[in-house]
Amino acid sequence: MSERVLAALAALALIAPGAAGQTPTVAEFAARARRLDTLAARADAFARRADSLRRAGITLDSARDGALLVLAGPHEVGLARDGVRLAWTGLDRTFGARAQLLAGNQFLLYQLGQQDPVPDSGGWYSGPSHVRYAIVSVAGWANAQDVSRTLLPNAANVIAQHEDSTFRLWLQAVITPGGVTQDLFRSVYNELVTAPWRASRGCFLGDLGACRRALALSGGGDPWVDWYASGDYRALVRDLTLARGDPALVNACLRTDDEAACLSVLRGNWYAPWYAQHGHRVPAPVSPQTRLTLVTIALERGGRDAYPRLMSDPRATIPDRLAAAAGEPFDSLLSQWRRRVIGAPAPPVVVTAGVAWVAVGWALVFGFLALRSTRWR
Amino acid sequence: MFKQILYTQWKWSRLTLLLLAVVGFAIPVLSVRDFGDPSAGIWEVRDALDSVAAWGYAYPILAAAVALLLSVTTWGPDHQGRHVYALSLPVPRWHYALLRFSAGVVLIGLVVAAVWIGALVASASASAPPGLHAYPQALALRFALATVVAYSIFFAIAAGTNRTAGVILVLIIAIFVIEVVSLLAGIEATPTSFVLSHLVVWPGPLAIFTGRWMLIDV
Repeated sequence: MSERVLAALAALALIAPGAAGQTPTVAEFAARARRLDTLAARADAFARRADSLRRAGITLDSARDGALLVLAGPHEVGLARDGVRLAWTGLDRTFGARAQLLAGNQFLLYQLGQQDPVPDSGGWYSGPSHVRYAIVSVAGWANAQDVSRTLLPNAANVIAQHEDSTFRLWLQAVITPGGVTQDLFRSVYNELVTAPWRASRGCFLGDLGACRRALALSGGGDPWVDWYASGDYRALVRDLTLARGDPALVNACLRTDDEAACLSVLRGNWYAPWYAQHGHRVPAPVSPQTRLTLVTIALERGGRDAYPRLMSDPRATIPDRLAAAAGEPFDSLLSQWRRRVIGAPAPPVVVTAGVAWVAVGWALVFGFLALRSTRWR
Repeated sequence: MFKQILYTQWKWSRLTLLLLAVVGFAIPVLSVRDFGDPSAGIWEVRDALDSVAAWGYAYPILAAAVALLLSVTTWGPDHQGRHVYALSLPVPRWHYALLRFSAGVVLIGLVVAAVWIGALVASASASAPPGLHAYPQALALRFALATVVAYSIFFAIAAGTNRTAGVILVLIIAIFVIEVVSLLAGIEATPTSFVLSHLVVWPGPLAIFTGRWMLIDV
């Protein structure tokens, strides 16, 4: 927005009520004055930024697709445009209409070793907060896919800031287009296999109720009881609390597996205030990455409007929101998720026929070379 | 004649070979010692898998050691005796070398059997949680193939002339020198990475060494 437009807006803000024939009150004048101050500061910030760029001889072009705006030097803007086009396709497909939340944010593409100068990042970061801006650095040999891959997490972070706190505290991860790969599903498989909690083990063995508990999706007043089973408490005390707390209770828990003592230690454990401060009193049995795979499948199944549906009713429970996003009952979604995870173990430790025959072949080749040696001649 | 050659090779290498067989038995058994507690916590299970993975480095090292030992002891006495014994035999050289090679492969079977039995014992003694599996056969097969490949390489080098060994040495030095010069000149593509990638990436001769040497895995 140019300085002139801002000035015009400011003038309008002053004269508009008067034109309506109403007499403004002192409070209204004060409010208008504050609004003018804000507009003036913003105009001043833009003007200062333009001046500093001019002084530094920096010319920036823009690459825009949808609500995604990237600034780049004249030599890099072609690459930026290709990258922005790819990134926006992913953002639009994943976030649907909510990808428009990116409007008003700017990214600056910096290619390592680029010919065009870029503004001093310190000056940009220390500017007024409403001049939003983030540097996106890519390697000197980056192509459009690389630019897109670098832009996507930055853009996804901006969109995630608009998510409601209930969802963010449950997920504790950022949904990024293309961010969930087969490797992540393999990692989730490993987690379900190796985690000792009854819920994660039960989920691996096919109990969907256990999957709900493992994913911290079973409601109730006490997550320690809802998400964990009696056999887990001792391991929780041993692994998570580092045996801090009332020594008598810790001993009773660790030595005799006293469930009441274990729960007392857990409920009053030393890091509870930290979790409470962050809205989570109890650590979920599985990692945020595991929950992210569930959300990703819901978005995949729900199509372009899935994310807006997921965010449409912050008061609904997370399972209901995920079901709405996926457009199918939650248990069906959960079954799909589990099937996908179970179908993604790491490649088994086997020697394939190809590897074996090639090894035999090389052994024969070297053996033949030894037979052909001229040592005795 | 094969039995005689096998016997002499066994006599020359038996002490070290038996020691390596004991090591081959011990590695898989030691690698799963963290899997003894069925109520292991989350960190223990992951630590146990990490431990199995760490012990996995021992198998290719053992394979190379067995191969080197057998190839050296196979040709050592012949080199010391200037091949007089071999020349006195009524067989062509290729036949004699084939007998030596085959005898070495048979002796490799001893260490492979030790690794296999060790892996079976370790698998039976480990209490892995559901979802994790033991792969004693796959591990023993990979070890056998890796040892035979390494043995054939060392055997070919040991069977060659001093000139052949010199050529190989000069090649290695040349690659090292070009590597250093490339690094100093700021060139990213170095000959070492090129050569290594062609050696260890399938279908390279050492590809069998770069697989997953996990006795217990998902």
